[in-house]
Amino acid sequence: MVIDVKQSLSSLYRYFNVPKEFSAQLSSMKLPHLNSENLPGWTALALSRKYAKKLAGHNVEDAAFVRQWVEYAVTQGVHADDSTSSSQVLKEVNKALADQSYIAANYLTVADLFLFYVLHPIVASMTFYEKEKYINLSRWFDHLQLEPNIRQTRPLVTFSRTLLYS
Amino acid sequence: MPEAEQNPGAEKSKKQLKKEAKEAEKAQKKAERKAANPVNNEATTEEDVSVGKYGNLPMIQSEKPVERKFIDISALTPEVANQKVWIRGRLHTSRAKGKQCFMVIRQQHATVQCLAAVNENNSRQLIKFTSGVNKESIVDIEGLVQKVNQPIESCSQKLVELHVSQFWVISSAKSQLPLLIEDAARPEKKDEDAEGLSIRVNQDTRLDNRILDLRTPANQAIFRIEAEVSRLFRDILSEKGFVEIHTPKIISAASEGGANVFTVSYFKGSAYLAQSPQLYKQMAIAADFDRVFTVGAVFRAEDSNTHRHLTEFVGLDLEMAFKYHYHEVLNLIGSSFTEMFRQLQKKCAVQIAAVAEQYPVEPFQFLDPPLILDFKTGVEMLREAGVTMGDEDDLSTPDEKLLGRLVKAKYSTDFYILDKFPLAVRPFYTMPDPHDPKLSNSYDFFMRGEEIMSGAQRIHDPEFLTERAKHHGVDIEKIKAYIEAFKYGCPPHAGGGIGLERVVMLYLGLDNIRKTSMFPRDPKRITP
Repeated sequence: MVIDVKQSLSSLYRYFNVPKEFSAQLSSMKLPHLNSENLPGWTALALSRKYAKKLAGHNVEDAAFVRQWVEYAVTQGVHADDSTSSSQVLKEVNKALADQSYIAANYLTVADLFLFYVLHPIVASMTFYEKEKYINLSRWFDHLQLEPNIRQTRPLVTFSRTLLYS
Repeated sequence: MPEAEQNPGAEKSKKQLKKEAKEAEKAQKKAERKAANPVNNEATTEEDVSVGKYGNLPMIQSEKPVERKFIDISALTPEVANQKVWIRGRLHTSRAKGKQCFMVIRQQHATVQCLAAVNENNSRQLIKFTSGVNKESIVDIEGLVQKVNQPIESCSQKLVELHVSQFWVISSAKSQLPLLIEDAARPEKKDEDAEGLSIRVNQDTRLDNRILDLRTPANQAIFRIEAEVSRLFRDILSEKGFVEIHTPKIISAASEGGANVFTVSYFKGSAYLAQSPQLYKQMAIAADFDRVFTVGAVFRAEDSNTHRHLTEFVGLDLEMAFKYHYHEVLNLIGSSFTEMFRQLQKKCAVQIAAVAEQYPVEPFQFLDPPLILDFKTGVEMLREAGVTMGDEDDLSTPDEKLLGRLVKAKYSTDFYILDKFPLAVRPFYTMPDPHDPKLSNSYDFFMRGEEIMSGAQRIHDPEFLTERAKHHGVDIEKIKAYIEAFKYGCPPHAGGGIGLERVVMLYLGLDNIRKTSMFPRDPKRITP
């Protein structure tokens, strides 16, 4: 099973307040030389550069990290619902968030948003035990979901502030 | 072949010559080998100074009593150093190295290192004999207790070792064991990248060879703890004025519902194996015994293959008449439990530590007086944690586990009681709450987030009981005998029943109930 990235894209359109005609055009766009699987990633990056420059990275190094994590979300993150690879993906993201508040840099970037939308269905169905196991992921997720522009119509995922399993 | 037919004699003699040549070569090689290994020769021809001090003892048929004092391996400490002692135990491991043989002898949970070395009292033949004895054989050893310079980490008796002077095999074990005690006793490492040996014995193999599996130190400890729990249950309740009764296990009608009973052929008809002693406990109360308890087998024909269900288990059930409020009973049962946990901590500390070595887990925490929460409070805690459930819903197993975790985080206790369950989820003989018709005077006890006891105030009025039975759609004809019991005056009473195996499993934090049942019975297993 592979997570459908189109949902994540439409959430991004909403976040950036992309006008409806434009988003419809983007959804049906096909670039001949580009791998169609990676298209959503490129679209996300392009959107952020057009509508919210800061979210694409403040400097060249951060921009490179943003690009890397968007690519990660599109290629590996979509497999997070597959039972064999989910633990690997969640572990990697959890490890990356161990010493950073956000995934690509020390501030919110489009990589955070994209990864949030891709991982939302997984985290929403995690047990309390798993949420505690991937505690950094939970912290980051809770932080992002409390912003209504990011969460949009999705229900709030409950996290327990007290440690239950250690 | 034409040649052979024409000259059979010639061909044969050629073959025979070849054969003889080969045999001669073989004999020569053998002789050479024998000459090259004079040691073996020596071993068999040299004088044996240990004659009469080792060997296979003939089967002990009680020919004549032998006055000999044996010492327990667990008592081998530096205090008995430099004394000659006799021990009887099992050969746990043995390792021979030329002139020495190191052995570990095991007696239940204690192990000690024994050394058999060639010296003026011990011959090579003794060493050879000891190294050839099969593992798990029962042996008698006489030896000198010696202090060691460096503690022996691999044995329970770390500060001494035994220098063997006599070695007798009492009962030999087969050479091929279906499972090794070492493997069965290896602790389960929780970390995923363990570099040590990770040979595990899986549960089915253990249960098929239960006799060997039960010899591991952890299992020896578990069943001693189980015995103590049963003993404490009896002692604590007897002190509170309870009388032990024994209820029949062969009954004529399914007590709590026809689906989960075993049928047995009973002469020309059939009977059932008791699902619970509920009816008889209540009859004893109606017969003026006031406070009763019973310890006996319970048979449930549920086809559940889970970690916490058996088809046959030991039930510890109690029933008590009270004056005005069922909390008199609830508080008594709660305090009996905390008393039991406290005594277990005190009396079985060694055994609990032995179990924790193989199955490490956090020690059991409890409060005194025990924590009693309303069912409503429990539901609120679960809702705060994001679980959606109705007011009259029963707790599902994951909900119970989560609630256990939340209670532990908030109150620091592994043992708690939920009071006032919704009436809709309890059996028909549960007394409803007098003020809120949706609730009942019933309670559940939990240990480590799993339910161990379901109890309630029972309906002691026959008319009301009939009404409630009708309401639940129970056939009145089938429970006629039950209702009869209350027709001649019966005091208000309440009680509950626990499963011995489940309590021990949860107290020790084990993951499967088969670990606490000596010869477990489940839908797929009826032997050994």
